[in-house]
Amino acid sequence: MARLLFTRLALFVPTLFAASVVLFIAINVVPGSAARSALGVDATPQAIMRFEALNGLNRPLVVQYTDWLGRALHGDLGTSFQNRVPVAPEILKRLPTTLELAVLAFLVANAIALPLGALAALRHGRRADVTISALATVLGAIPNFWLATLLVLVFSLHLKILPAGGYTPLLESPWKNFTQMILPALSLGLVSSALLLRIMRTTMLEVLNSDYVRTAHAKGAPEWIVVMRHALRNALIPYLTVGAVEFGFLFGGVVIIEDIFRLPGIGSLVLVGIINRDYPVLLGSALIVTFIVLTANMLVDTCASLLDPRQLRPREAGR
Amino acid sequence: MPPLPQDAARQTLEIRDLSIAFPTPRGSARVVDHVSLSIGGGEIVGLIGESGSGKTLTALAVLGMTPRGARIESGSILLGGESLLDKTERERRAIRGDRVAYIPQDALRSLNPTLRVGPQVGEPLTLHRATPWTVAKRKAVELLAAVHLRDPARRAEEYPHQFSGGMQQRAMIAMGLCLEPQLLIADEPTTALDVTVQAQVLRLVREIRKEHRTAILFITHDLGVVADLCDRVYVMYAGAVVEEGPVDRIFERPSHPYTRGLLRATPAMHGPKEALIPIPGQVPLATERPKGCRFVDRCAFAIDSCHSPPPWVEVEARHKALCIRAGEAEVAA
Amino acid sequence: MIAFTNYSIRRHGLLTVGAIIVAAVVLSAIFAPWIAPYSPYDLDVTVMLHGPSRAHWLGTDEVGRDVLSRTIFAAQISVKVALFAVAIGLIGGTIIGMLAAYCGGTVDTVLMRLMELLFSFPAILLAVVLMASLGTNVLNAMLAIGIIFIPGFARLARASTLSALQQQYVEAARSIGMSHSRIILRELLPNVVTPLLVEAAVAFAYAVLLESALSFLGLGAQPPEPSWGNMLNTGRGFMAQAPWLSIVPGLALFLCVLGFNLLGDGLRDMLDPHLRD
Repeated sequence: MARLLFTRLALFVPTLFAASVVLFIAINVVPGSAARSALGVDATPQAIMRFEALNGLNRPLVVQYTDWLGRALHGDLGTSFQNRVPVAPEILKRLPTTLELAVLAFLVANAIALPLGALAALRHGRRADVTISALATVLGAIPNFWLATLLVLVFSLHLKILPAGGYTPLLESPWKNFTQMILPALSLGLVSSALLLRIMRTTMLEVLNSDYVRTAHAKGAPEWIVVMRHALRNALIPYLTVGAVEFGFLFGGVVIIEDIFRLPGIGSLVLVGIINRDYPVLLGSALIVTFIVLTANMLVDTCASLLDPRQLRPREAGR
Repeated sequence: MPPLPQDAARQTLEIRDLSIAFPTPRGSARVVDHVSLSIGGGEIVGLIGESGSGKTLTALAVLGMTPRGARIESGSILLGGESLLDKTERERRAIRGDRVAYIPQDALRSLNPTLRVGPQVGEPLTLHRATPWTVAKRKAVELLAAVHLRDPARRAEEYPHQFSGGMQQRAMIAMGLCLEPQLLIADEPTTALDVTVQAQVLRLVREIRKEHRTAILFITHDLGVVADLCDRVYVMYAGAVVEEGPVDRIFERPSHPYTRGLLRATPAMHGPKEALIPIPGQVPLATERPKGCRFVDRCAFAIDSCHSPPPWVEVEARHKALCIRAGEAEVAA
Repeated sequence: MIAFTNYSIRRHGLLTVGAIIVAAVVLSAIFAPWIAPYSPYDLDVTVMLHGPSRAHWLGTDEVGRDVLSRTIFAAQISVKVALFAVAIGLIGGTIIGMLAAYCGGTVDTVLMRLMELLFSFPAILLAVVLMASLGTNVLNAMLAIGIIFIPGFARLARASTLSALQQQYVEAARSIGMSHSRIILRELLPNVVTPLLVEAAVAFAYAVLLESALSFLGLGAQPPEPSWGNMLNTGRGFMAQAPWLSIVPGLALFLCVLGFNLLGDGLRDMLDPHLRD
């Protein structure tokens, strides 16, 4: 097992580096845009040159990157163009909010996808399956920001039972935090659950058609034991592996949802970064969001491996 | 339902006139066509046929595990005199694994890869006898020892992928024996194994019969295994039984042209220099069977009367074949 | 038997529904000037924030523009952006994928690792970062989304090319001395196209979604140009007084995405049953 985790980590670290390179290139894909965007259209060439010199933007990209990387490894993600405030502490402050949203959305998505997907597979071809599959198709087409808007319309404006935005830290007031996080978590989680549901249904169908499930039936096991003891764990392994990708989509939604519900997380910081053309802020927050996504992917993949005895223990030729 | 004959209660398994059909785009396909067979306690009965002959489906019908869409059109299945087809699903579940055990072909795929072998083997105890897991696991170790697995206590803690093919099959057998069933249905259990391992499994099956007097239905397409192991044989072709009898009589005097063709096409039955003679033609689709004898298009001995349904001809004591020319000297040669 | 028939009708039924919706959207986009009752830019301060009425079937927005007309015209942006983005992704991805498959070895590994990495980025994030540099308008949205689509298509193109490469006729072509480019164009390309088309349909849906999301965030189509995304964004400020502003564009967006998804699913079932589920 230790070997498995070690190899996972060993592959993970270069991926993080590569990701930072990609983001760095993406944000500099049009050279010279940083200064012009920050200063505005009427900036004089001298102002631009001064800005670039001040921020080291006139050096070759490779140098800029290595310099930035070096500082990043020490926890320094630069300072905002706008207000000269260091970026890293701001990100750290906002991290819990984003993580909370992500975790809740993840829970919502799986709480829906796992049971309904399994049910659809168990009742394959029958009414429950058709209904659930249709529901998944419809749900998966709903834009998460529209769903958020509708939820606010209904629950905040019409029924007035949930707030339309704002954030109280969990430790300060759990209940208030909960009421503020329900709608955001639902907006993100419901749409993601659609694809995850389909994946669960597919893997469960395959498992239910397997020989070992047939053996369980032949032993006289009732349906709930067949599902819980024999089918579920085997279906979860490919589910987690394939579903890991969906978590990336889920995180993308964080940017919009945090904006709609005025949650002070890293996602909304990304927006601040782009709207103000504040490159260090944008780069730093985009980087951290990507890191969270990649880490989540890796964790999910690892969980899948941990569930699979075939991957944990090597084959021994038996006698 | 006709009254039970006197000796029916003595038979562990009795299948009478069973027909199972599937709907297909081309009409209803009767995959099992009026099949009758019986097995007594302590008997090892072979069921031979090519794939698609309906043998597995027959076995699944006994277990009550026919696939969705399969319709049992007629017939009865009696286990120790009790009719199985009349039972509810709950009653059938109580019988499966307890009074009837199923041993499938591919042992590796038939074992749950994420559960240790011990709990899987002992599971029937928890399902049918409400045995606590600790006791069941201990019994599982005993069962693994009974199937000659070395170091059974350690093996019980391992996962299926850590076993070899032969060990996996023996674990499946241990699982089947857990509650000392009246009937054991083995569906091609040796097909995927190499010869030496095969011999071990067959030896095990004989032991089981000797010690527990279990009735064993041994489904296979391997004539060599049948000759080695079985007391009686049923030969199935295209969904129907075409010949039945004691195994030595069947091999000595095959009375149905299909059986004869099978023997001539099987390497194990011949000396090293003799030519193998395959049966010409192909098995007809279940929706396109000829009227009358189903083998007529491939039979070297077909005559005009073969286009009407063939009768059962009793060639010897307890040896009969579904052929109008069964027993004729020409056919048996 | 009955269940089987019902099932297949339902399958093709979905494809039909999807095709109808997509056709409706595309036709609306093309014929918007003729279908829409008003111009999407026509202000009328006397009817600001009016609900649905006979003059304005779906109401008006904060400066009196007709919501129905703007919704119809917004289809133009969505279709345009989706078309270009998918085209960029398709062409770029196919080139990279086929190249990787054909060259094999290090080229293949490097390219595919790169594609995998790009694929694991959340799309919105990458789009936002790209547009920070490119500039935030519709054109750059097309470009950014197109770039984001390249890895997905590349992966698919590579897989199809690899399996096609193993077919006999490539060996035959090579043995008679056909040049590499000839082989790629004449033999490989046709077989790669089919799964790519299926993927393109689904990609369309995603492109529409991404474009709307970017417009919603103020990074895509800028007002007064109508896009479902920016309409929803402005509608946010008037949720209490004019809820229809938050419902109608979203509904159009939802239907459009649904239509393309159904079309993609239906095509997939029709063209290659192995890919189903």
